[in-house]
Amino acid sequence: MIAWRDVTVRYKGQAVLRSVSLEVPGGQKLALVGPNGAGKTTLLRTLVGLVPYSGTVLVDGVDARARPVEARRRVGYVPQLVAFPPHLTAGEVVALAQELRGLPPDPAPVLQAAGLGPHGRKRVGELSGGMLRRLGVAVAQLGDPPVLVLDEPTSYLDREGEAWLVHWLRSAAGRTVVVASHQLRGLDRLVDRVVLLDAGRVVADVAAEDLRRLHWVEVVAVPSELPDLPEEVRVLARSNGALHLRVPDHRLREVLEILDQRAVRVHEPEPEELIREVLG
Amino acid sequence: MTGWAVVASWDVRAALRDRWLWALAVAFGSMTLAASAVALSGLRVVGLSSFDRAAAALVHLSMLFVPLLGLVLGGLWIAGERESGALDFLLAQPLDRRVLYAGRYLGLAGAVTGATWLGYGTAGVVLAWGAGTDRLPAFLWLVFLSTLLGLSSLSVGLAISATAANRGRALGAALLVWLALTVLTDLGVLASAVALRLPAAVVLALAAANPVSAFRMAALAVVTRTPELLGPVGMVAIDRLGATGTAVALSGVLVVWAAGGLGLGLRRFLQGSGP
Repeated sequence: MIAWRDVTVRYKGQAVLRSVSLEVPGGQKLALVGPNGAGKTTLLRTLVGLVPYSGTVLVDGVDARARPVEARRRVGYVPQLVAFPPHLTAGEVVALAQELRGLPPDPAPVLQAAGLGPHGRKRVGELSGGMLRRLGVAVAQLGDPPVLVLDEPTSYLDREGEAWLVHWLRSAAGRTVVVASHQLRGLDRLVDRVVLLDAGRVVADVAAEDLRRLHWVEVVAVPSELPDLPEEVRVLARSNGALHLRVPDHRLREVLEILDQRAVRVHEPEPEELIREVLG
Repeated sequence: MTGWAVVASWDVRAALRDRWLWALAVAFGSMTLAASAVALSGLRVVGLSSFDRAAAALVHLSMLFVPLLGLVLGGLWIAGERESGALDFLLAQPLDRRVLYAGRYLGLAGAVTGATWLGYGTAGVVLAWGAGTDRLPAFLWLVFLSTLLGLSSLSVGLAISATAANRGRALGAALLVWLALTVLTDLGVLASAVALRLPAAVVLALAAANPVSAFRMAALAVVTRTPELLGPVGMVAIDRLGATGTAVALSGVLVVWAAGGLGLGLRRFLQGSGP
């Protein structure tokens, strides 16, 4: 369980978070979405004590300010920019994190599970962005923390990496998971709940299931001939030369790939557009 | 292993891979070796034994190298890792911030001390071979004082790092402090003494407040048998406290700098890194 109660964060006199109160029950997967600068990263950083805040933050029932070490022991945190001390190899990063969590250093199985088995002896500076992110996720899971927090997890990941992340998120059953992202693309299929943050405030809180019914894609520049699309895709509206398509959730990736292959310019809705539709 | 020991041991390992640190340690070792060899083989200067000449050369080399090592190594740590994002990895671990800071200090202290001892080790072998071991206690005093100078410089370097906004500023500030401690402060004290006709005791207090000057006076007081090398201010100190008393009192100055820098750096680190 995670609870933020009346949490405010100020940076250089500006409020980055404004009295945020939000509870994530144990075992729930939550997507925290919103535009850049909404305060998503800051909210996640309060869990591991990376920013000073006012209010109360509880991690699995532990007050993150009163007992910060205990709170951090319960959180696996993958930051937006995954970085490790550059002189360490991937294996050493895992071993160091294991030792800091009081575990015996044994990096090989951890690296293997993250698909980084052959890269254990590479310095972190030699790893690609995707590999670093996998390493970050692997390190965050050490000691089986009940809470997992991922900030923009799909950055730097290729298709294979995204598939691995989807598999990993699905397998994180029983854990409380919070994923922050500025895009909703596909994320609503992996979580139970979506919270929209804007200008440091929670502005919407909806069930992911409600969002999944609503996917649409806008074809901005309509070509003379639209490529063949799956039958379930329906044209919702035409306006100013643009097409508004409703796409079933399970067909979304396929449709986007087809349109992309034909170089058809599309506009995917921002999370807030979808959420506002849900809220009517 | 406890948290601080884990951090310290990993930092020592990291230091062993640091080419910059090795380069500085090897340069220091080569210069102490050369200075010792030249001092032992050179023409005898009136009033100075070969050991005194070598010791004086080592003191002056240490005054330049050891603070540079401590200030730069300490100065780059927090600011550098904060800039790269690597600090967040450590801060997100279940580790008390004080424990992390203490572990890092101990690890870096191990690196600075190792590099200093490497330099003195090579000089010590040459001195033992050329001048015998009867002045070994004086030589060990010199090593001890250099170690204290390294630790106080490291504390100040870490305090700079905890305060600086980024790696570039931290490095710039560390080099500026090094220049101030090794050159500018002494010049300032000298100029003030002449211009204001300050009493010797005041000049001594002003000079002793600078850790590098405190090291120089303590080292020369205890390792050479020629108080003239200390100049008039140092001679006042020896006159009042004796050679060993001067060295002990000035060691205290270095300890105060080490503890003060550590406390200030820790305070800034805690302020800047959340609960």
